[in-house]
Amino acid sequence: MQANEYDAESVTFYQDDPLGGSPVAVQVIDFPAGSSARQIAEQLSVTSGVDASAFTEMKITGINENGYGEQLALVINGIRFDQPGMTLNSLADTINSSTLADQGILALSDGQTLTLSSALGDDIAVFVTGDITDSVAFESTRGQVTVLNGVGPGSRASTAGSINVSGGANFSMGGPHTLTVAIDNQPAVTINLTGLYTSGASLAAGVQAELNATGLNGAITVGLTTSGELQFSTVDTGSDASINLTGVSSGVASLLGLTTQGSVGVDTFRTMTVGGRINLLLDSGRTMTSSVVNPAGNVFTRNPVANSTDFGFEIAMAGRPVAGDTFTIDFNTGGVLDNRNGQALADLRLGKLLGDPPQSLTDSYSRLIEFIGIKASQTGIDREAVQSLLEQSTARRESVSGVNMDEEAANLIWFEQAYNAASRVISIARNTFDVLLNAIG
Amino acid sequence: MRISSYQLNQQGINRILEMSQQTAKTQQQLATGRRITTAADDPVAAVRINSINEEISLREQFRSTIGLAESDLKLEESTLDHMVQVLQRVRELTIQSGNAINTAEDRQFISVEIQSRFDELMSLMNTRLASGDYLFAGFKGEDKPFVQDATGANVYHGDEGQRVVQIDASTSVAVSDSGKHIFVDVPAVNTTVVTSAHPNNDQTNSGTISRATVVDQETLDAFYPDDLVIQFEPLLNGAVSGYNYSVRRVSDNRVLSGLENVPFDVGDRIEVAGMEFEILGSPRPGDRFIVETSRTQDVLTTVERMATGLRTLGTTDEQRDIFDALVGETLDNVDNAITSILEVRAKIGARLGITESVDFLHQEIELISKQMLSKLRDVDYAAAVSTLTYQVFVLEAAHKSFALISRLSLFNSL
Repeated sequence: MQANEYDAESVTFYQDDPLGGSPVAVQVIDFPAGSSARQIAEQLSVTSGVDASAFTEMKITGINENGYGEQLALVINGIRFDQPGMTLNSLADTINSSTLADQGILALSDGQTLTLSSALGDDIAVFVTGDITDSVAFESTRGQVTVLNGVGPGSRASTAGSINVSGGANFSMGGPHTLTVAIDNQPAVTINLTGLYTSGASLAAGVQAELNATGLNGAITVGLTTSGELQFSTVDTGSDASINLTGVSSGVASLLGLTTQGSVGVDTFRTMTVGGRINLLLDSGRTMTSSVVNPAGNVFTRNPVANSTDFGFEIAMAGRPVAGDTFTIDFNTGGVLDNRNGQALADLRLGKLLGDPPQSLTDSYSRLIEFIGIKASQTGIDREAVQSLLEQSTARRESVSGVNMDEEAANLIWFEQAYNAASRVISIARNTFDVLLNAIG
Repeated sequence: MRISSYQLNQQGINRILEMSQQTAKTQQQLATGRRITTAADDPVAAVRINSINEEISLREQFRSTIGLAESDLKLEESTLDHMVQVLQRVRELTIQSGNAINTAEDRQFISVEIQSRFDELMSLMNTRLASGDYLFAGFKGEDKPFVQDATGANVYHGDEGQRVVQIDASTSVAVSDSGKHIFVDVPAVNTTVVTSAHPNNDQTNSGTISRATVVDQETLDAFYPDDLVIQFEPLLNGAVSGYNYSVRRVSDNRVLSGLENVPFDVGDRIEVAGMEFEILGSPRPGDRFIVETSRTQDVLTTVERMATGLRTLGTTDEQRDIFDALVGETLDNVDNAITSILEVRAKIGARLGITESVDFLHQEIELISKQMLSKLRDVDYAAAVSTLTYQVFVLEAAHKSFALISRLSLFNSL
C-alpha cells in the first residue's frame, strides 16, 4: 500500500522547571517518513505525561463512471469496490458491510459527500482504476479538490502472448499443458490447462478460473488484447507491479505464443493516500517542539501551540451512542430548585481554609479562644504573684519607716514625764535661790 | 518585725478585699449557673465547650433539614400512590372497553371517564409543594412541567434534575424525582413517534407539524433508532410557488430516496418510514421539522390515545382491528407506567427509612453532647453553695477581727 507523504520528523518533549529555570528536554522521538498517525500516536503515548490519539478522515465528493470502457473501481486499503452504477450512498453502504469495517474504517454519506474515517488513525489509501474517462473527486480538509481519473500513478503490469487466439484453443490433447506465473513478490503458482475453448472469451475466462482456483483471486486478470492475444495483467498501488511467466510448457507456448518472460508494459495509476491527524493531551508542565523542515509535509508545526482543555466545566459520557444521538450542553435557565451551589457553600464548613497548617473555620476559632484563654489565665496568675511581692515590699518598708501609734503614744508619755521632772528641777532651783537671797538681805 | 500602724491597717484591708473578691466570684457562678465565665477560667475546657456547641447546633440543623426532606418525600409518595390508583382505574376501563358487546354509546361513556382520569393524572403530575414549586419539574420549579402544546402533544417542560439534601456529615438523600424519569421515559410496547418544529425556524411565518400517526408499525420498528429531518429548501426556479422540502435521515444526513425537493402544499400528508404527518401553516425555506422515533411513551399520551380511540374508532373491520390492538397496547403501556411509578415509590420508601434512622442518630448524639457540655460548663451547685458558705464565714471573721484590733490605741488609755 502506498505510504502517505509525511516527511521524517523528530519531536522533543520538555518539562517545565518548577523552580523557574528554562524547560528541560526529557524525551526525543523520531518518526520515519510516511509513518501513519496511528504509529506516531502509539510512539508518542509511551512518553509519560503525554496522551496521543489519532484519527484519519478522507472525503470523496464525486464518483463519475461514464459506463464505457473499463469499470471504474476503487481499491481502499486493499479492498476493491467495483459495482456498476456506484453512487456515494451505495459505496458507503458497501464499505460499511465489507471487511474495511473490521479495520476500523467507516463510511458516512449524505448523498453529497462520502466521509471515510479511521478511528485508529491508520492511513487510508485509495486508488482508482478504470479508464481515462472515469474519475473520482476528493476534497481535503482545506477545501482543496483533487480529481483522480482512471489512469495515473499506481502501476499495472501485463504480459501477453503473440498468437491471435480469438478463435479459442484446444488443450484436450497432448500435454500436460502447464503455465507457471508469479506476480509481485508472491510465490509462483502453476496451472494445468485441459479444456477445449471455442472462443477467445471463453479461453480467457477458463484460464482466469484456473488461476483464481490457485488462490490468486483477483490479483491477476486474464483478458484479450485488442489484437486478440491472451494477456495477463496485475495492478499494484505502488509503482512496482510485476508479472513473470517463469514456466511455459511447449504445448502452451505453441498454442498461445507465450514464452518465459517478465512484465511487458508497466503503466501507472492514480492513488491518493491520506495520513491522519493527531490530538495530543499534555500534562501541565510539558511542552514540545518539532524539527519541522517543510510545514506542509509534517504532522506538527515547529512550535505547536497548546490550548488548555479546561473550559470551566467537564462532562463524562458513558454507554454507546448511536448515529443520530445528540447531546446538548447549555445553561439551565429556570433551574431555581438547583441546590448544588448551596450545598457546595455549606461544604465550606469542612474546608481547610485558615491558618498554617490549614484548619477549618470552627477549629481556627477554637484555637483563637484557647490562645486568648491561656494568655488571660497566665496574666491572672502573674498578677497574683506580683500582688504578693508588692505586699511584702510594703511590709518591709513600713517596718523600717512606718509609724506605730502606740509607740508614739508611749514615747509621748515618757517625754511628758521627763518634762514634768525637768520643770520640777527648775522650781526647786528657784526655791533655793529665794532662801539664799533672803538669808543675806 | 516591726509593724507600723499603717501596715496593720493595710494588712487587714488586703485580706478582706481578697476574700470578698473570691466570694463575689462564687456568687457569680451561682447566679449564672456556669463554672466558666471567661475562657481564662479553664482554656482547655473553653475550647471543648465551643466544639461541642458547634456539634449540637449542626445536629439540630440536620434534624430540621430531615424534617423538610421527609415532608417533601411524603407528599411525593402520596401523590404517586394516588396516581397508581387512577391508573388502576384506567386499566379496568381499558379492559372493559375491549368487551365485544359494548355499543357505541357505551364506548362514549368509557371514553368520557378515561378523559376525566387523564385530567386527574395531569393535575397530579403538576402537584406543587407547600413553597409553590412544582414537585416533578426537576430543577425548574417555577414552570409547570406537564402541558399540552398547540398540536395537542403532551410536552414536559422541566428538566431531569434531582434535588439532594445533606442530612448528615457524609449522608445525602434525594428529595425529588424528575417527572421525565417517572412519567415520560416509560418503555412503550411499540416504537412511537414525536414531532416538533426546530427552535431556529422563522417565527414570524410559523409553519407547524402535526402529530404523527403510525401507519406501518413494522417499517417504523425497523427504522428506529434513526430520526428524520424535513428541511425546506430554497424555492424552485425562484418562483413564489416553488416551496419544496427534502426528507433526510439524521444519522448520516442522507436524503431518503424519492424525497428530494418534493413540492409542498399546505395540508399534504407526508408518509415516510411507516409514519404519517402533515405540515401546516406557512413554512419558509430554511425551516426544519424534526420527527423523532422513540421506544418510550409518556403515561399521559398512553391514556389519551385510549380515550381518543374509543371516541373515534368505529365499527368497520379495519377500525376494529386497530381498536383491539390499541386495547392490548394500552394495557401493556399502562402496566409499564405503573411499574415505573412503583419503582420510584420503593426508592422513596428507602429514602424515608434512611432519614428516620439518621434522625434517631442525631437525637442520640445531641443528648450525649448536651450531657458532656453540662459537665464541662455548668457549676455543681452543692459544691458552690458549700464554698460560698465557708467564704462568707471567713469574711465575717475577718471583718470582726479587724474591727476589734483597729479600736486598740494607747491614746484611749491616756
